[in-house]
Parts: sequence; structure tokens; C-alpha cells
Amino acid sequence: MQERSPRGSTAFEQLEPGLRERYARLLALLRECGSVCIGYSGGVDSVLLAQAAVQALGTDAVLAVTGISASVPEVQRAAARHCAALIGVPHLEIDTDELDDANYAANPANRCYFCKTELWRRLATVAAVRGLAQLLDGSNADDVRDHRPGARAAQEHAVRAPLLEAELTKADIRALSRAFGLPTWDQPAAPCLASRLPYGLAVTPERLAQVEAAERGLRELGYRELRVRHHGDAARIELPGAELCAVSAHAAAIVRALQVAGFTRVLLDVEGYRRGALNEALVQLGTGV
Amino acid sequence: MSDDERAVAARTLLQDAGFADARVGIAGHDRSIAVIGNVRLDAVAEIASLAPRVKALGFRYVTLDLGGDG
Repeated sequence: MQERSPRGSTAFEQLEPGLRERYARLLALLRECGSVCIGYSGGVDSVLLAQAAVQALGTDAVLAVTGISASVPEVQRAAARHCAALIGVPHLEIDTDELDDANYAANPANRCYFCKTELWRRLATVAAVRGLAQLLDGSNADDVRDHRPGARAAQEHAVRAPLLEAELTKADIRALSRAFGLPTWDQPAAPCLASRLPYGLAVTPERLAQVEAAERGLRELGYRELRVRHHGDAARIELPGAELCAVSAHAAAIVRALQVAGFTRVLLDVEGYRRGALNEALVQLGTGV
Repeated sequence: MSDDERAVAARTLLQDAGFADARVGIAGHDRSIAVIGNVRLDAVAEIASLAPRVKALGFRYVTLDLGGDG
């Protein structure tokens, strides 16, 4: 293992050899690309990918691009900017218009396909203008087991997924991020705000703004990992199981925060936070996801 | 089962489990949420253990009512 991280090299060398080998494979894949344009959300995966791309190719051959729309909360935009500055990757924000696409706004089970189609179409233009050879996304080896209709849009735009190709799992990416001192190493998953709307409930800027305000209100009360699911007039809150019992102490403040966000009913899901909870509807309907 | 029948069945299930004063409503644009009221919020773990049986009545989600106009 010849590669050295610009930061945290001692911690890196303490990682298990198989993981260091997979990271070396990642760097080799990135070098093959020559120059890259990364779909960059500022989450744990794309931040590590951007860091590795800078290490492998240098800053002149890398651009991290964040698509901005009402489905991306301000807290995530700020985190993306912060991390880009920290790792020194050139960063560009571009507006995307997925909400203007009726196919997306209708919120079907393959909603992410329409969103990612818009994103990669825009990024392909940016890459062409900047002379960057390859589009990349931050999908990892665990993502192939999840319901990800957006992956088809990536395939249609010849987007490569080096983390997946290097067989790096989410746990690997967190371990590497920690070794490199990246602040995202323990960051909760942060899918877009539209993921809080059940399939079939139309995605509108107003509903996305309600969810963003509600989740901001709960974070201000000290909750970190959470989801506010939008069910029309009702908000269904998912919190980690260990935090459910403590809700009784803050119930009034929680209700106030969510009413300010525009919900009239405030409901606590007794099963707690679980990733992809709204996909449970697809499983129950037997849609073969 | 109709909405009323599902709500009554869920309420009976909760009462049989010791939540004598529990009431159950239904929420959500697709009527998929069981809303349990009139139980102590610190009983959430006990209610969670009953969630699979409540969901088997035709609900996708089982919730406690924290408040609001519902």
C-alpha cells in the first residue's frame, strides 16, 4: 500500500489490510478516469469520493457538483460547502428543476429516476463544458441491495460508481472517513426531502418546505437522527428507538415545532426510525422492489 | 375491513393488552396510519411490541397521538 492520505495517515495505516487494499483499488479506478465530475451531495459517500479523487488526480482534474432544488435542505447545502472547502475540492452548485417534471412531481415509486435523470443531464453539460472526462456518483457496495431507481438514470448517462466498483461498503466508507478526519464519518444518512413524502402524494415546494421546517425544529430540540414523514395534514415522526421513551418529556415542544411548520396532527411512530420506511408500502404491495 | 372495523379491532387489541382507556383513530392521505390516543407516552415500548398485530389489521404504520387538531 503506497498511497498516503493527506491527513490521518497513521490512522489509515491502522485500518485492516483488506480495507486499505479496497481503498487502493478506488484510487486506481479514479486514476483510470483521468478527470472527473462528481455528483456531490455532501454526504458521507460523496465526500469520501471527492477526497479520494483529489488525492488520486489533483484538484485541477476534479469538480464536485451539488444539484440545488427545494428537495435539498439548507443544512445539507451548508454541510456540502463546508466539506468541499475542508478537503479542497473545487465545488459548484447548480439549480435543478426536477419539480417542474410532472413525472417526478406525481411521486411514483421510481421518482428518483426522474430526479437523477435531471441531475445527470445537467452534470453532463457541466462536464462537457469543463472538459472533464467522467461522471461519478457515490453509490457504494451496499446500495445494490436497496430500492434505487435512480441507478438506472446513472447507467443511462454512463456514470461510474467507483466506491461500488472498489467494493467499498458503507461501513468501509465510514471507517476510511474517520481515519482521514472527515466530519462526515458518523453523519446520519441524509436522503432528499422528497423521501419524506409517501409515494403517490404529490411533491410540491410547499410540502418540502414543511418537512424542512419540521425537521429543523426537531433538531433544535436536540434530536439528530430523525425523519418527519408528510402524510397530508399529519406529520409522522420517526426517531431512533432509544430516544422514543424520552419523547414524553418534550411532547409539547415537539407539537409546537411541527404546528409552526404547518402540520395539524403530530404522530409518533412507535417503531422508530428505520431507513426507507416509506418503501415498506412497496413491499406490502408486492411491487418487486 | 372498513376503517371503523379496523379501528375497533385495534382498540380491542390494545384493551386486551392492558390499555383500558386507549382509543384508535385513522390518519394519512391513504388511511394507512393507526393513531393511538389516551395512553401514556412512556408506554411507547409496550405499544411497539403490539405494532405487528395492529399492522396485521390493515395498517402500515402504528403511531401515538402527540397532539394537534385531529
